[in-house]
Amino acid sequence: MDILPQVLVNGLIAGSLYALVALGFNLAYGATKFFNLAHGALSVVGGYTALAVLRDLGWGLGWAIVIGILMSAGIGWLLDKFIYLPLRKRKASNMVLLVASLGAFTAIQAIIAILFTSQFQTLLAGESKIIDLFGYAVVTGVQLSAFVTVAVVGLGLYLILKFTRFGKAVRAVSDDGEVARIVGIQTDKIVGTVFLIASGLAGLAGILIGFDTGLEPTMGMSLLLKGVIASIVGGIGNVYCGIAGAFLLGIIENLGVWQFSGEWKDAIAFGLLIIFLLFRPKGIFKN
Amino acid sequence: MEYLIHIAILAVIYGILGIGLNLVVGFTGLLSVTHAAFFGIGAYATGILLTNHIADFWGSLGLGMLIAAVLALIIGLVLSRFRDDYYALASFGFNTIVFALFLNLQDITRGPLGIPGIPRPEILGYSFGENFSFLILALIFLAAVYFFSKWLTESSFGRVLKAVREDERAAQVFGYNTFYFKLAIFSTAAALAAIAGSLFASYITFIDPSTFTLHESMFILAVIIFGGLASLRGSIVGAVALILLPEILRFVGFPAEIAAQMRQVVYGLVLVLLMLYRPRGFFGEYKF
Amino acid sequence: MDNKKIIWGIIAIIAIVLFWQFGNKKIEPIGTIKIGAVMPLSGSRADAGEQGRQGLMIAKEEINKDSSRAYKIELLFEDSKYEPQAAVAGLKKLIDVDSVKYVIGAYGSSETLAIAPIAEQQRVILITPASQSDAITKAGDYIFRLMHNTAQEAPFIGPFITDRMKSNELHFIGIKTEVTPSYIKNITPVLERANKKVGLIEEFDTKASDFRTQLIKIKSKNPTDIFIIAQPAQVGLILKQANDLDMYKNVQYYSLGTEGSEIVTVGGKLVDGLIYTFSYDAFGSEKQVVDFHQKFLKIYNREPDGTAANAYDALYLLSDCFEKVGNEVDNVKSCLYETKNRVGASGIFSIDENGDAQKNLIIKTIRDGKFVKYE
Repeated sequence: MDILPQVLVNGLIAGSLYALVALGFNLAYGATKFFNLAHGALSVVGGYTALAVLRDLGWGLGWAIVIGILMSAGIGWLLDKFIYLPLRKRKASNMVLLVASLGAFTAIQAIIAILFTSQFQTLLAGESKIIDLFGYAVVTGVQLSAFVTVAVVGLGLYLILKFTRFGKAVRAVSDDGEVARIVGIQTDKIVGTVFLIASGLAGLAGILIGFDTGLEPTMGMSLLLKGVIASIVGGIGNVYCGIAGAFLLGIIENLGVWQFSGEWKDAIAFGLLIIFLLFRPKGIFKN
Repeated sequence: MEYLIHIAILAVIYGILGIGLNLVVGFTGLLSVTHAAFFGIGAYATGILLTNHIADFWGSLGLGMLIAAVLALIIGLVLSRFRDDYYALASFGFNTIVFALFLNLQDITRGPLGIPGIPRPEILGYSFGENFSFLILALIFLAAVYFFSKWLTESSFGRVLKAVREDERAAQVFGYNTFYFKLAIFSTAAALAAIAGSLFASYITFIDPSTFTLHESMFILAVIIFGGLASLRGSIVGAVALILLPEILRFVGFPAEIAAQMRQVVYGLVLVLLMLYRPRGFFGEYKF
Repeated sequence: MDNKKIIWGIIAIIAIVLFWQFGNKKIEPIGTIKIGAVMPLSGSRADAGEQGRQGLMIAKEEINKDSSRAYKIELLFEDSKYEPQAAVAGLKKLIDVDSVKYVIGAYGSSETLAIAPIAEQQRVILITPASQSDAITKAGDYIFRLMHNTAQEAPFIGPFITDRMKSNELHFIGIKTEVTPSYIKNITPVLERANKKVGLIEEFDTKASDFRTQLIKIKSKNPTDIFIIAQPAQVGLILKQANDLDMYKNVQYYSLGTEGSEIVTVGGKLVDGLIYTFSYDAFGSEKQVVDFHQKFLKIYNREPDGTAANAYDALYLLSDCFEKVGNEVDNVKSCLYETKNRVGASGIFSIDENGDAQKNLIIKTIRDGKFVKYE
C-alpha cells in the first residue's frame, strides 16, 4: 500500500504538465471558440528550440527556456495573424478552422522532424536531483519545478485576467467577440496577444517534458489531446477548471496504469473524454 | 512500369476510401475523422481470415464489410449526439480506441508484429498475384463503389443527406428522421472503407496497426478536401494527386529521410491553403 | 661459373615475368550484380540503419577494388524507417522495379518478419544483419540471419545472473510484445535450477516513455536485480527514471542484447554498468575484426556496432559465393548454407541448416558510454 502515495504524486506531476497545455488551450479557446489543434505542435517547437539552444548554441539553461518560450509564442502568434485571423474575418466555420489548424500542426511537426530527426532526444541525459517527500514519495527537481510553475502561472493568469485592463478585455472578448468590438475593444489585437501567451505556455510545457522524459517530433498530438481532454473534463472555456481537469486526468491515468496495464492509456483518456462529452459536456464543475 | 502500376493501385485504394468518406463529410456535412478505423477493420478481417485459412478473399471481404458496418452503427450512435467540431473531436477518440484495440488485442491481431504473408485473392483458380491483374481487380471495385455512390447521392436518399448538411432542423421539420439517415450513411461509408482495407491487405501482403491511425484518417480527409467536398470525381482526383505528390518529391531529388517528412509538410500546407483560399476543393460544391 | 650465374639469372627473370603475367591475373569483370539493402535510414532507429549502411559501403568499396573478383557489386538502398510497412514498400520496389535477387536487411525484427514472406515467395535471398527475433529462424529457406537469436541469450546469461544475484528474485520490466514472455520462458528454468525465481513482470507498450508506475511497483518489492527488455531509447529512460525514483544505487540492471547508441545519449552516465549478452565485440582480437574496427573508426570516426560488422560480412558472403558459383540464386543459396567457421568482421560464425548464424556469445557491459566486454 505504500505505492499509492507515489502513484498519486506521479499523477500530480503528469497533471501539472497537462495543466500547462490545458491553460493555454483554454485561454485560446475562450477567445476564439475553436479547437486549435496546432497548440500541440507549439509544445514541440518549444521543447526542440530549447534543445537547439542547449546543444547547438551551447548556451545555458535560462536562455534555453526563455528562447524556447519566445519561439513557440512567436509562432503561435504568426499562425493567428496569417491563418486564423483571415479565416475569422471571413466568418469561416469552426470546422474550417479546425482543419486549417490540423494542416498547420502537420506541417510544423514535419518541419521539426526534418530539422532534428525523429530520434528520441532528451534535454537532460543522466541524473536528476532527487527530492524526498517526507518518505512517502520521491520526485525530481524538474518535476517539482513543473508543479510550482503551474501554480505560479495559474496565479499569474488569474491576477492578470481579473485585475488588468488587458484581462478585462480578454474576458469581454471571450464572452462575446462582436459586442466587445462594438464597445471599442481591439478584438483582433487582443486575440493575437492571447495566442501569444497561450502558445508560450504550450512551449513551456514542451520544455518541461523535454527535461522530464524527452522529446519526439510526434509527441504533440498526444499532448494536445490530453490538454483538450483536461479542458473538457474541467469545463471548457474556464481557464482554472482546466487545471483541475488536468490533475484529475493525470491521477486517473496513473491509477489506471497501476491497476491495469499501460498500453490502454490513450484509449482510457479518450474514453473519459467521450463520457464527459456525452454526459457532462460543460465539465465537472457546474458553471 | 511496375512502379506506375504500384502507384495506380494505391491511388485506387485511396480513391475508394475518399469516396466513402465524402459521403459522410461532403454530402452529409459530418466531420468524421475516424475513417482509418474502418479501413483497418477490412484489412484485419482479410489479413486474419486469409492467413489462418478460415475464409477466402471474398468471404473475408464480406465479413470485413459487415463488421465495419456494425461497428459504425455503434460509433455512429454515440457520435450522433454531437455537432460540428465536437463531432470531429469525438471521432478522434473512436479512431484512437479502435487503434488501441488493433495494437493490444494481440491474440487476434498479433499487435505490433502485424500480419505478414497475406495472399492475393483468387477466383476460380486464377490468382491475382500479378500486380497488373490486381490493378484491374481494384479498378473494378472502384467502379462499383463509384457508381453505387453516384446512384445513392442522386437518389432521394441523397437529397435528404444534402438537406441534413444544409439545415438539419429544416429537414426534421419536413418529417425526416435525420438520425437514421446519418447513421445509415455512416455505416455505409464504413463498409466501403472496409473494401479498401481488404484490397490493401491483400496487395501489400503485410499489415500492422501503424497504418490505421488518426494520421491516416486526416490524410483521407485531406484527399477529399483537396479533390472537392461532395464530388465523387473529386475524391478520385484527390487520391491520385496526393499519392503522386510524394513520388514527385522523390524524383525532384529530396534525400530519402527528408522526402517522407516533406510530404507531410506539403499535406499540411495544402490543407491550410485550401482552407484559406478554396475550402470547397477542386471539384467541390460544398464547403463547411 | 659466370655462365651458371647468367643462366640462373635468366631463368629467374623469365620465372618472375611469367609469374607476374599469369599469377596476378586480372580477370575481366563478368558483370555487376545489384544487391538491395533495406535499412532504417530515417526515423527512430536511423542511427542503427546508418551503421548498417556504412558497414556495407566499406565492404562494397573493398570488393569492387579487388581485381581478383569477377563480379562487381552495386548497392541499392531503400529506407525502411523502422516501420514494417515502409520495409515492405522498399522490398517490393527492389524486387518489382529493380529486379534485385539479393537483399540485405532489415534491421528490426518486425521489419524483417514483414518482408520475409515476400522474399521467400519471390525466391529472393534475404540476409538480415541485425534482427534477433526467434521467429526468423523458421522464416524461410531463402532467409538468412547473421545476428544472434534472442532465444540463445537466456541459457547463456542466465547462469551469469544467478551467480551474482543478491536476492532470489529477478524482476522484469519489458515491452509488451512476444519478446518479453518468450525471454522469460527461456530463462525461468535456468533461474529455477539455481533456486531463484522470476519476480514481478511489468510491461509497457511499444511507444512508452514513462515507466515510473511500472518501476514503483517493482520498487515495492525491494529489488536487487532487474532485467530490462526494451528499445534502446527506452532502456536509457528506464535507468534514468529508476534513478529518479531512488531505485538505482543498490540494484543491478541487465538487459536484452541490444546496443543502440540511444541508450547512451538518453541515459548518460546512468547506463554504465548495465550487463547484457551480445555476439559482437568491436575490440575482439581476430585479425578480420581488428581490421574492420580500425577501418571503420578511421573512415567514420566512431565505433562500429554489430549491425555494421554483420552487414559487412553479409556482403562478403554474397560476393564470395558469386565468385564460387556464379550469379544464380539457388546456387548462391546452397553456397551460403555451406558457410562454416568463417572468420569475419564480426568474429567467427557458421550458418546452420535454418539459415541462422551460430555465433560466440559474450557478456558485455557499458563503460564510459562504450559497449565493451565484461571483465
